[in-house]
This record gives sequence, structure tokens and C-alpha cells, in this order.
Amino acid sequence: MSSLETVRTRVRLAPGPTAATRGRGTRRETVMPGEHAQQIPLDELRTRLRQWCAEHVPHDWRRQQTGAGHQEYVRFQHWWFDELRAAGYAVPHWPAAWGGGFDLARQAVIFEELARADAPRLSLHFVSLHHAAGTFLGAGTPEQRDRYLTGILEGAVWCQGFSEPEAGSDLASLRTRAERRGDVYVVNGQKIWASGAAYAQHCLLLVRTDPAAPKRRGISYLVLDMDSPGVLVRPTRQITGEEHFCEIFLTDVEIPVGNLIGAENDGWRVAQSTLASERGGTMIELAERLAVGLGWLLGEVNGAGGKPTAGTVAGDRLARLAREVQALRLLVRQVITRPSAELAQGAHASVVKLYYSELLQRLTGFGMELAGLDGQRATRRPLSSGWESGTWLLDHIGSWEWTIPGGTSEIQRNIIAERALGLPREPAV
Amino acid sequence: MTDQMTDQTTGQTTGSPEDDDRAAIRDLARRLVATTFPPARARGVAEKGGAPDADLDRELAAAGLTGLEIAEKYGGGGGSFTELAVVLEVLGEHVGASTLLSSAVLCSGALSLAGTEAQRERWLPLLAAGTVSGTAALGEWLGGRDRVVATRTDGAWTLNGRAGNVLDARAGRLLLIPACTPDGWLVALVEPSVPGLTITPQAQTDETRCLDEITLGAVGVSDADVLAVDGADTADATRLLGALANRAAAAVAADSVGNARRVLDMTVGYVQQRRQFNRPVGSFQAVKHQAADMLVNLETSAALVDEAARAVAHDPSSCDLAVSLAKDHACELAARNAGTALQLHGGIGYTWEHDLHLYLKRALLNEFLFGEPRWHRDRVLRGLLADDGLPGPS
Ligand SMILES: Cc1cc2nc3c(=O)[nH]c(=O)nc-3n(C[C@H](O)[C@H](O)[C@H](O)COP(=O)(O)OP(=O)(O)OC[C@H]3O[C@@H](n4cnc5c(N)ncnc54)[C@H](O)[C@@H]3O)c2cc1C
Repeated sequence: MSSLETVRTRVRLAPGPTAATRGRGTRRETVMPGEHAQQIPLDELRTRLRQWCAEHVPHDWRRQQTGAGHQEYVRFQHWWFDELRAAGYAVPHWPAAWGGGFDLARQAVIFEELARADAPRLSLHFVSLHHAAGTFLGAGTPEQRDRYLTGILEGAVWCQGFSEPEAGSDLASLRTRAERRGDVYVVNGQKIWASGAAYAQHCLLLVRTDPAAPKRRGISYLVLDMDSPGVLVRPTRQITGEEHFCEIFLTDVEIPVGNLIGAENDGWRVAQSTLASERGGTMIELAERLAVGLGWLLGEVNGAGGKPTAGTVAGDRLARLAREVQALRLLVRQVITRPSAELAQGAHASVVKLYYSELLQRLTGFGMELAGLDGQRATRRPLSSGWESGTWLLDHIGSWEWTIPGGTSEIQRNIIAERALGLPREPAV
Repeated sequence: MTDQMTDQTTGQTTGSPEDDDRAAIRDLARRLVATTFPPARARGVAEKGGAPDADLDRELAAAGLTGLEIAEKYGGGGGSFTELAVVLEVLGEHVGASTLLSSAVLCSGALSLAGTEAQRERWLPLLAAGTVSGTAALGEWLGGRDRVVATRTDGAWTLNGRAGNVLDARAGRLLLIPACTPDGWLVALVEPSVPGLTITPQAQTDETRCLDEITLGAVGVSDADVLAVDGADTADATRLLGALANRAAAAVAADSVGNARRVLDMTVGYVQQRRQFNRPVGSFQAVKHQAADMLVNLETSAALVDEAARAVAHDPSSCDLAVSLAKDHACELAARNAGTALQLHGGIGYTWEHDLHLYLKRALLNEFLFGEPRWHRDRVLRGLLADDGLPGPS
């Protein structure tokens, strides 16, 4: 237990969000767009967003967040979340009853404008706003929805405890064991690579409840409160130097049966709602951020050696990246313009994820080439940014953060070949 | 299997009326081209040494597809370029040896854009009905080396020079010849029978298309046969040529999307059926992953080409960037996909007997036709610089 305490105090510098510490009492009257948001004409919404961004995005946030400590990062993230929430732009993808209610076209406008204003990203809340929310909206009971979505709006931070040392791409082979004893599950095992776990109050936890069943049928989905006794979180230093993902050790951790999402042994199906939540609006924002990045590259090439022309290495690379970024923007918008059934023959999400992550790798790699030897000097990445750290080398190294998690590129190609093209499936074990 | 698969990628049934129309046109064109122009016929055309295929053109015209975009008062369908693009894509699926691109996209398109009432009345009904086909010589405009020069004498123009790589000139009864003037450009309507004009068929590696060379020795053009001409302060001909180049490039990109779609279907079908090591070769991941990449290439191309066709139809004066992005991407990736397909077919794909070579050769030609990659990339770069990046989504 004492090591748990040590780890906690090292990384958990921010207090959990409470109304008192975060000054929410004064903010109760914030804008909850609800149904009327649907009616705002797109142009008007865009103008509003542009103006709001001009007034609210701190112009020097990158500088402030560069070299910032954990505490400063967490404080800044909560502050930015509050700003967005107060304006009604934190959860546009949620249902109206929960403060969202923007259709996809309007979400696109919001995410586009945030991207173009180079606003900070809600990295601390990413799992809360997408994975956790998607799970409860897809598979939670009304009580769970009420409790957890309210918590998220108040700033609760979630993490995702799916991967294990022996269960990566083959997630369904996970071994963390949960045994039911009365009205609790007793959980033992280890999770790995859980992003933001050191900051989190809750964890989306996949456990094995029936070791005898075929591997996908013995999995259950639990909510773990991170301050439960027996939970030990150990941050792992990442390739970029930060400590964002963590190991989670679970020793005789008791989780109330009321924390079960979906039915016992039906966790694999519930997990699909979690994994499906990284689509739609999020991808639109990511595509727009790439378009912004392309503009930077254009400026760099143009500034360095005169106007880029075809037939030069830099000119050809730029022209290619331009068509790829534009193709990605059009692909992600198809979610809005076309019925889902026809999208890339049912593998649209995989096509988009694969294309985005590998395009990001190419684009940041080109930036790194432009920067040359001088670009290899050590720099620090501003926290709260996405891949756009301001240093192409770090951005490029960071791009594997997109080709590995959420189903590796190889797994996406398997999915596309099998689901969209009907080719024989990989051996199922 | 392949038909169902194809239908899902292309939007058979979507909400908007425009999409529904396009889906209906796609259905019609697919049925018609598949029966009139089966693969055996595509090879036959090549062996007879003679594209375009008159039967295919007749059927397209009879179904109203040739005149799809021509105004109703001239006997056309009053449709839009986005619809014509669908038919072009279907022709790409079948390596169709048709004059639709030269005649409908270029010739009819030019007359509709710039023709005088007399010129339209004379030609458009014939073009819509398919009784006449025409073409335009865009090579010089698109960076080619050939030159045609127009000089003004005695109240008329005289054309001298050479225009190579003209699509379907041998089949045309109406040739649109751009020529340089002291003020810029002139676009002349010329009939092939005019004295001083010769058409020499070029032999192409892709035998499903024909490109020809036109030489002009003192060919006279009266003012009545001038379609557009630049003046000291006007640029009608330049504008027309720009619009035609965009139509041509978008059209050939649509052909490449159809090409890539069929090539993927053929490949998926083949690797499922071909067995080695006691299992379908399509179960090997090295094969599956290449097939997955082919689909990604196809999907990104289709998205860009759809957008380009929309831009040509609805925003012709500012579609340069959208068209060049689509042309460069779709044509390069269709050629790459055809190469991957050849690899995944093994030895059988390397035979003359297999259809694949028809697709590979056409995809390779498309990469250079109507603006080589370099021409389009330069235009992309100029567009990016002018807009300070990619223009925002509409
Ligand atoms: C930055 C980052 C953040 C992450 N955040 C989280 C998080 O918050 N929560 C969480 O639960 N997990 C998280 N992960 C874990 C991530 O989901 C896994 O890393 C991922 O699923 C891959 O598993 P693995 O690392 O065990 O690699 P492996 O599965 O061991 O893969 C190794 C290599 O083998 C290939 N491979 C494996 N199986 C196949 C196959 N069938 N066909 C072809 N190739 C195959 C892979 O593509 C890869 O190239 C994160 C990972 C990273 C890098």
C-alpha cells in the first residue's frame, strides 16, 4: 500500500475535481445548447466559433505549456475544459439532453474552427469525452449514464484499461481476473499502456469473469474507481520523454457489482461501443489539424528556397501531401454526406484510421526532412497540444501514437481485407 | 460478388435527388456497357487495330448518355457534368473504347460553353444524337511541344502547325483546334475534310484509346467558325481552354476510378479462387494487406474525383485546384493499383490473354493524358500558394 501512496503522490498532483476546488458553483448557468443548437445555421455557427476562439484561445498557450509540470498541465486542461463547456463546445457530439445535440455537420464546424484557431486539445479528458461517454451512451443503464456523464461534465478524468502485457492486438486473450464474491468482484491482474491513468478518477476496465468460456465470451466490463484499495499506478516514460501512459496493477481490488456495464460476460460487445467512439467529429478535427499542418509546411518550403515547383523533391512531396490531406478531409466528411452502409463497404472507420495515421507519419516525416540536421536538436513538446508540438522531429516520433493504438495499421488492413473485400479471415485462436 | 461490392462503394441509394439520379445513370450505363462491350470485345477492338468502337458509341447515344449534359433544346438530357462523370467512370470499369470523352466532354462541352447560337444549333443536336462526334486538341495548352499558329489575312484566319496526341481525331467530324495568335489564343472549329489538314493515326500501347496527329498547312478558318478568340483585353479563348482542360482532366480521373474499381474486383475474385500451399492465396496477409491498400487508394481517389466533378459542374471558374488534386491522385494510384494487381495475379496476369493488361495500359496512359503529373502538381502548388494552404471545406 505504501508504494501505491508514493506513486499517487508523485503523479497525482491535481486534486480530484470538486465543485469547491474548481469553482463550479458560479458556473451552473452555463450554456447548454441542447436542441436549439441544431437550428443554428452553419455559417452563423462558424462566425460564432471564430469569434469565440479569437477571444478565448490564449495566444501563448504553447509557450506556457512547454516544459510545464504535471500540475500545470492538469490545471490548464481543466481550465480549458471549463471554458469550452461554458461556451457549450466541450461535448458537441453528445446528445442534447447532456449538453450536446449538434448534428455531425455542426460538430464538423466546431472541430474545424477549433483546429484552425490552433486551440489546445482536451488531451486529459479525451477518454472521458469519447470512450467513456460512448460506452455509457451505448451500453449504460440510465443511472450509470446519469452518474457518470454528469461526473464527466464536472471534469472527472477517465482512463481505459484494456491492454495487458500479453493482450495487445489480441485483446480478447486478456487475463485480468474478476471473481464474484457477494456483491463485489474481486479483481487481480495487470493493465498496461493506460493513457492518463495517473490523472484518472475512473477506469474502463476489461476483465475475465469466465475463464472456461471461449475467449470473447468470458469478458466483462467494469468501472474501476482509481482510489480503490489495491490499485497501483505506475507511469511509463514514453518515447517522447513524457510519462502519459501507465501500468495499472490490481491486487484484490473490490469493485461493486453495480459497476458492471452491460451483462456479465458480455463485456466484449460493450467494448465495441468504446472502440467505436473515436469516430465522426474527432476524425474531422484531426483531419483539419492536418490541413493546418500542411499550411505550415507550405510556408516553410516557400520561405526557405523560393516558390515550390513540381519536379523538385520538395514541390512534389508537398503536392502529394496536399492531395492526400484533401482526400482525408473528404473521406471523413462522407460520414455526414452518405449513409453509413455504403461507406467503404463497411470498413470506413478502418480506412479513415489507417489513412490518417500513416498520412500523419508522412507529413511529419517531411517536416523533419525540411528541418534537417538543426531539427535534430533536443526540444520539449508543449503539453496540451496534439501532434503539432512545433518540432517536426517530435511530431514524427509521436506519430506512432496513431499507427499503434486503437488497432495497429496491420490490424486495420486485416479488417479492411476481411470486412470490405471478403478475403479469408485470419486464423481465430 | 463483384457487382454487389462495387455498388456499395459508389453510392447506389443515397438521400439526395442528385445522388439518386447518378445512381440510376450508373445502373443504366453499367448494364449497357457490360452487354455491348464485354471484355472479349475490348480485346477484339485492339486486335482489329481500331478504337473507337462504333457499336458502343451508338448504344450510348441511343440511351441518351452521349447527350446527357447537352441542353434539352438541342436534343440533350439537360444534365450536369457530375452525371457525365458517372458514365465515364463506368466506361473506365470496362476499358470502354468510346468517344464519350472526346465528343461529349470536349467537343459538346466547348460548344455549350462558348458557341454562338448558330454554332450550337448546327452541331449540338448532331452531337447529342451521336450522328457526329468531335474532339479538341488540348496538347499544346496542357504543356505539350506541338504548336499551331494562327495568322490573320484578308478577314480570315490561317492555321499552320501540328497537334499531336489528339484523342479520337480519326473518328471526328468536328475538330476544335486551339492556335496561338499575337493576342493569345484562338479556338477554331475545323472539319477534317478541309484542304490542308491531315490526320495520322498514332499507334498507342493502350489500344482501347486512339490518339492521332493532326497537321495543318494553311488551313483557312472563317470568323463564323471561330469558337473563341482572345483580344487585346479579352481572354475568351484562354478561359474556354482552361475550362476544357479541367473537364478533360476530371473525365480521365473518373475513368481511372472506374479502372481501379474493376481491377480491385478482379484481384479480390482471383486471390480468393487461386489456391497455393493448400489455401487461397488471398488468405496470406502479404496479399490481403496489398488488397486493403488498393481499396484505400480507390476510396481516396473516388472522394477527390467526386469533389472535382462537382466543382467542374457547379464552380467552373474556380475548380483548378480540385481538378488537379483529383487528377494527379486518381490517375497515379489507379496505375499503381493495376501494377499491384498484376503482381497478385502472378504469371497469368502477365499474359496477353488475360484482361488485366488492358487495364494496366489504360491506367498508365491516363496518368499522362490531359496534363502530365508535373503540370497538375505545378497547378496544385500555385493554388496552395494563392490560398495559403488548402481552401477551407465548403
Ligand atoms: C501511445 C499509446 C497509448 C495507448 N493507450 C492505451 C490506453 O489508453 N488503453 C489501453 O488499453 N491501451 C492503450 N495502448 C495500447 C495499444 O492499444 C496496444 O499497444 C495495441 O493494441 C498493440 O498491442 P501491442 O502493443 O501488444 O502490440 P502487438 O499486438 O504485440 O503487436 C506487435 C506487432 O505485431 C503486429 N501484429 C499483431 N497481431 C497481428 C495480426 N493478427 N496480423 C498482423 N500483424 C499483427 C502488430 O501490428 C505490431 O506491428 C496504447 C498504446 C500506445 C502506443
